[in-house]
Amino acid sequence: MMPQVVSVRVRNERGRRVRLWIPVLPVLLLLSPVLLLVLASAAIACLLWRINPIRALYASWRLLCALRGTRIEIEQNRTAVLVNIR
Amino acid sequence: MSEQRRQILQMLADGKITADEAERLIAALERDQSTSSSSDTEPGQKPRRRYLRVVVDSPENFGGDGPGRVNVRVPLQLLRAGVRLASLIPPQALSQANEELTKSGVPIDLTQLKPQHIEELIEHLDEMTVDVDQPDAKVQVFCE
Repeated sequence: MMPQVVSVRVRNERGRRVRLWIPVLPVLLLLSPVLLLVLASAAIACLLWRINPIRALYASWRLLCALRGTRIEIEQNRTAVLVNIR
Repeated sequence: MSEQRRQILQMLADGKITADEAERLIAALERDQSTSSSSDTEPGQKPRRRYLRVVVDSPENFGGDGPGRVNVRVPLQLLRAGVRLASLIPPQALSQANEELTKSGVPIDLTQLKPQHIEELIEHLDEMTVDVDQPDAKVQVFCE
């Protein structure tokens, strides 16, 4: 199952916090024209490099789905960044 | 580390028990734990680890900008998916990578690295724990 939400939290040196919840599916739908172009370019690149585009697409899809559960948390002094893929 | 194990090690550090006694107590504790866990899971089955965790803790100075902490949790499934994607790398690119690795003093033949080998490697990652303790930083890599 592909990730549903990417949450990003940022805290700057002054203690100001920014929280973002990015819904993945709506963003993908919004970017679908660009994604189609990217997919077409990737398919051409695959054919040039003699890679099966279907296998490449499937592997990329698996990679996207496997991102679910990733959590990256970096804190330094008073600043912090948290990226959580759910 | 479990609380009981910590207590045993604390008693050893305090000099209340000898090293032999501590060893016997820890062995008994492990036997108890394996008995209780075997009643929860199927015999011969290990609890399945799902994430690779990397924790870097620097309480004093991290890159010269004060204390820092890095906590990264990566699903093991992501490593598997990455391996599948890497298996699509064309042989020409692999041979070029081999040449560059050899030039850099790392003579690894990537063409001999099959996806099933890496699968086995990932399967056994759950037994791996890396602990690096330094006065100014602590690094832990483990599966959970």
